Amino acid sequence: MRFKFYAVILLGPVVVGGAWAADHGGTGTAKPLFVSPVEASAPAGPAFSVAQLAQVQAWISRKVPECPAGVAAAAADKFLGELAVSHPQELDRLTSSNFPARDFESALLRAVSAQLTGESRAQLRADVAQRRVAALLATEGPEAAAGAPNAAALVGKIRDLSDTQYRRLLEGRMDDDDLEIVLRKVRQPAGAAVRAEIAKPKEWTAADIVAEFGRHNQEGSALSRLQAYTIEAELTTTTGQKQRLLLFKMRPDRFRLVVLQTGRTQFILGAEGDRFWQQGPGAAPALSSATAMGARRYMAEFIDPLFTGEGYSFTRLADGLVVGKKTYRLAVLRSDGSKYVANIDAENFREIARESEDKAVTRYADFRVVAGVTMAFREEITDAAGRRGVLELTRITPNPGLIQAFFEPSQPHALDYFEVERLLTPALTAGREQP
Amino acid sequence: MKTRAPASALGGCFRKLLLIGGLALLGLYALGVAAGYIWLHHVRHNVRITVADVALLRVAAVRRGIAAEQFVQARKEWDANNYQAAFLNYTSAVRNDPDDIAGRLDAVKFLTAAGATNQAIGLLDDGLARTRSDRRLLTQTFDLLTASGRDAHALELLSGVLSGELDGPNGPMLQSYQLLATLNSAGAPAARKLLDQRPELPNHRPAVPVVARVLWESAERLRAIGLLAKYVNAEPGAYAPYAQLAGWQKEGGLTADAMHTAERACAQFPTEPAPRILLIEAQAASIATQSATLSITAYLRDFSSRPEALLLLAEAAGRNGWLDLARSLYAVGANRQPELTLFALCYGDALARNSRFAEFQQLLAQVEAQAPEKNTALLIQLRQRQVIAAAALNDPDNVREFARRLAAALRSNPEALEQARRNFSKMGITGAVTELAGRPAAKRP
Repeated sequence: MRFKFYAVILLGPVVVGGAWAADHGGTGTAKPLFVSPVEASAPAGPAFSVAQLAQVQAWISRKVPECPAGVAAAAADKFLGELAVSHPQELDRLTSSNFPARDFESALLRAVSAQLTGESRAQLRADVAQRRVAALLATEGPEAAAGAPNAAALVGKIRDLSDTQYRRLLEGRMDDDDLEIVLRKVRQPAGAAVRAEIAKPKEWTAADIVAEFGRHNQEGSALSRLQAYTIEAELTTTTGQKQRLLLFKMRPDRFRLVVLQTGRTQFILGAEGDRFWQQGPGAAPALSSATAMGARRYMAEFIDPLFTGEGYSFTRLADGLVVGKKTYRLAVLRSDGSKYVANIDAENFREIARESEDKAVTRYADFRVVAGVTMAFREEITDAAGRRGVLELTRITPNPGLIQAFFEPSQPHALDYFEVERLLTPALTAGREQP
Repeated sequence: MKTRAPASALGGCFRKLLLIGGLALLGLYALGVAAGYIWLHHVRHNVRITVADVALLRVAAVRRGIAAEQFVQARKEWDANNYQAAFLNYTSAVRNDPDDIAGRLDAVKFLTAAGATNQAIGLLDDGLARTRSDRRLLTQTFDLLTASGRDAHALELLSGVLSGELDGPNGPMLQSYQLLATLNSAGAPAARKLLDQRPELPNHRPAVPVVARVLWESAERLRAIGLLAKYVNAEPGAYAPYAQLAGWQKEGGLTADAMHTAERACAQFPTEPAPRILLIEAQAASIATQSATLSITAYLRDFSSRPEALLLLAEAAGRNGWLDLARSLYAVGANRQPELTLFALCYGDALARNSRFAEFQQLLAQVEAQAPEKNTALLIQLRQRQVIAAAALNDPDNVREFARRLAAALRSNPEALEQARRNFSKMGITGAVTELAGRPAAKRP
């Protein structure tokens, strides 16, 4: 019995080993049992020539000698990918002597920054950011570079100005356009005192407030990338009636407002430049004058005038108080002579209220960032008689693919917009048009 | 007896030590097996794993169990639109069980849907290296390669790793793919030559659509139509041959036949929007334009709940230059979905079909200004149209510039680059052909 018992113990590994061996029989060369998903999802390989990759890696090791080889390889691939999209013609010249290396040095260092991850590389990331700032300054010419504070000081100022921008710079998430804007700000004589000035509102001029509004309500130059957007909203009118609204906006001054009820369009209001039109089901579009449009014509303003500034004049009025918050009040005068008063929250520079000429007051709330631009998702309008309407935005879609023809009036025909919509409507019960 | 006593005591002691050691080992082993089983079965939820699999260290069985679970999980993640998680599960599952063909094909389907065609092809290549005769694997590989313009890769496989299979049980199928890839990559004369070398191929029914295409492109149009019509009669269950046949009949001026083919397709696939579009296009090409309008009305009513139906009709409007309809569909599409770029391109195509190229170019510029930089698929569509618009407007500088940008967008896909070059060559846009030929794309590793 004992023998049998020992035999089981001693033979156990042999049996198990045999089973294991049988399981692996015929599988050929040894392979790792499990492969990590990260390894499995590694990119298929470089899509650039060896010469191009080698050229960029050598360039990186000249500019950032401390950069680890693996990081340099990944950064080279990233840089080439961006170069191929933004300047494909330069990709051909990369290996030649006439490649304008100086113009792309900042982009190269940005690609390196993006690859330098982990706590252990924090110092190197900061160094690369300084070198990148110096490279960007160098593109402005020797005189400008000589007159500017040194790169380390500028990076320090960026850190003081905004933690977010500083992190974006360090992590290579800030493109050259954005970095130039930030550098311009920190190099302004008053730039060093920006934060201090927030604490001293009395000294702010209307222009300062408008500039701060633009700075606080967009990330970098996000607004310049916003060419068009769509707003989906629900309007509760002063009589309590609910309507679905779709507002399409496209630069410079096009808009199309579609008012829907029970899934069908009640009417469309559109504009392209100074041409305003409206159209209802079964009718031809009717052109309207700007005067007849009244205040609705200002829907053609692509974005809050405080962002753009051009074509408007601003005057600072006495500060106000809106729902317990101190506001800067700015009179905004349009080129057509109309005006309104913008109430800007002194703490965060958001426009929280607007006073119209007809004594209506609009309160803005529920601010969210869409494509880098801060927008209010709730507007509460109280007219001179005290009646209240609420507009609640459900979605803003940036750059949805809007085209000019969409903002032009179209004549009725057999399969026009209203007819196609009518044919489709029965199935729209679950669609986005339904209230 | 006295002399043997110490030895016996020593032996007893040794046996006790051995017993204790053995029991300890056994205990540890049992503990390990239990822990492994509990972890796999209850923590990783691999319900197919048995205690025996773990106890006997059946690693392959364990890995197969893990992979099966990962495939199920991947499918769930995909259905929930969690693409990252689905990707990780699929890739890991295929590594764990490379012989699961069905799972591998599911992963390929996912990667293709996610736009990672190169990775999908890599998976198929690996699969073929393990199993050369699996029909499902062969079909999916060559369908994907020939549909995505990777005909050179298909021919490479057929002359390399699969050369021995051309005369095997899958031979006729592989030969028809060889014919198709040759037709796509080297043109009709080369395909015709290959077809002449394989006279038995037209008798292999699945090869008939390809053979008919070779005949069509070799200017034997009536023969091609006749052959494909017979095929459609014999194999009424596939939609693509109907579309091909109706298209050829329309192009050959046989509009009544085209309508008849489209009507048969509608009857065969009553719940699908594509055959209805085929009928609308056939009616519009004939004198039955009033019928076409009625058909569009019925189509919109019948498929109003299908989100893809509106875009399908918009594409037809773009292809056929129905400008007013394309615009109506764009405007209605804007009410129904947030992303309108594809509708915009359809409207642009309608402008181009009406020779309104200046407006077409402006529209493309408006779409480009709103296009995300990293959407390569969209950029490729845009650039191709921009080249065509510039060529139509006699603007050679822009032809070259947009062709350069197209080449940049296609840099990781040499086959598609070559396909674009061939298309521009057919259209006679020499500036673009020169640019695309002058910028050889990096070879895929």
